[in-house]
Amino acid sequence: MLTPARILACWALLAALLPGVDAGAADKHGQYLTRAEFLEEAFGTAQPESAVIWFDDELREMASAILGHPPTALRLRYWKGDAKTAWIIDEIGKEQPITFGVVIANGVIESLSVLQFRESRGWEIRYPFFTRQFEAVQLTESGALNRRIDGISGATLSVKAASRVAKLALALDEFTTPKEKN
Amino acid sequence: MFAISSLVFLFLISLTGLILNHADALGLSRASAGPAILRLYGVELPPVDAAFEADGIVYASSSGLVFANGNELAQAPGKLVGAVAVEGGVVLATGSELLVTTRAGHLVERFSPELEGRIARLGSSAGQAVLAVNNRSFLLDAERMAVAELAAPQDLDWSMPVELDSEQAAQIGQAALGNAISWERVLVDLHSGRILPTVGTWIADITALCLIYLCISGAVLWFRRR
Repeated sequence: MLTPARILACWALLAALLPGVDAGAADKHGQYLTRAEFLEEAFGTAQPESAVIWFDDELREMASAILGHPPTALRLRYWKGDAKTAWIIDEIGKEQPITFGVVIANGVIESLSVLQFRESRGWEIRYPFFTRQFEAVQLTESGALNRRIDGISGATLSVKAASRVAKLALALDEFTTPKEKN
Repeated sequence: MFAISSLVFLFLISLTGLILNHADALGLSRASAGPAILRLYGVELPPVDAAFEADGIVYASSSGLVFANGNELAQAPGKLVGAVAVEGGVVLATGSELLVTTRAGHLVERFSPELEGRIARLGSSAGQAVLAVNNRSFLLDAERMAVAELAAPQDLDWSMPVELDSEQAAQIGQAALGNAISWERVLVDLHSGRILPTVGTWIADITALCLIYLCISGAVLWFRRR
């Protein structure tokens, strides 16, 4: 017969077993893609020389509005060639910076990758099921992404960091690639 | 008495759980708990890992942060291994990363060279930074942020650590302490009972078990009445 004592014993057994279930998921931070690998994926063997963009007052203000804080460095390196630009940008998720790589062609994101993840939670954003959402994304007239990015439970801050980086890369690409006026 | 104390713990667990559910949105993980809470935790000033002087500025690392004359410059895991003045600025190195700053101590750019091994030392030669990695030397091009191996480095001047006086060390320790305990951590400790070492955890466990028993026995009684 199912007595309260027997039910409580079952619960206690479950409680003792459950902590082991998620043990393997912890601590997934690491370097997933080196800079060289990212650039090779973007440009193949014909990699262009890098260029730098300096954050003057105007750009600093624009970047601060997108990131919610001023850029941490005075300049940002990027690569331009084959009608594309490639950006490597660090942005803090929860407490540590995440290194993202963004490739943009004709004002549209071709790919977004996580090069290095340094935190203990939120590393799920490195997987294609998340990063593929950024393909073909561009900025609207108001400067927002033209597609809603689905979040991941438990990785909210990492997801937001990725979105901010995508927006910044698109805005900087627009700045470095002036459109031809008709 | 038992009922009242259970009520107090239940209220505390529920309130802290509710706030923790929105910790990210409230920025609690980044908000420092403040000196009074740090004293309660018995947190001591973190030590300075390493300090170097370059171009009249003292660069130091502590608790994953790099400081320039006591002001936070950047987050950088690992301790500083050198700081050298180069043409146009200063280059700092940790075991895995290079940071280029202006002469005024502002971060220009940071770069992790993809080398086999950690950066052991940083030096300068003819106004350029040289890294020592696994008994090999690499020259840094600070404009292109690229490194190239040096076959026979000459006139190398290796960066040597400096000793900080107690006031400088305390200033950096205080700045590094800012991130030691966040409000999220305090709430997690309250929620789990760990705010009271040993006893608190047991009280939280007993409260939780009592609640589980009440849920199960209530369900059983309800089924029996049916």
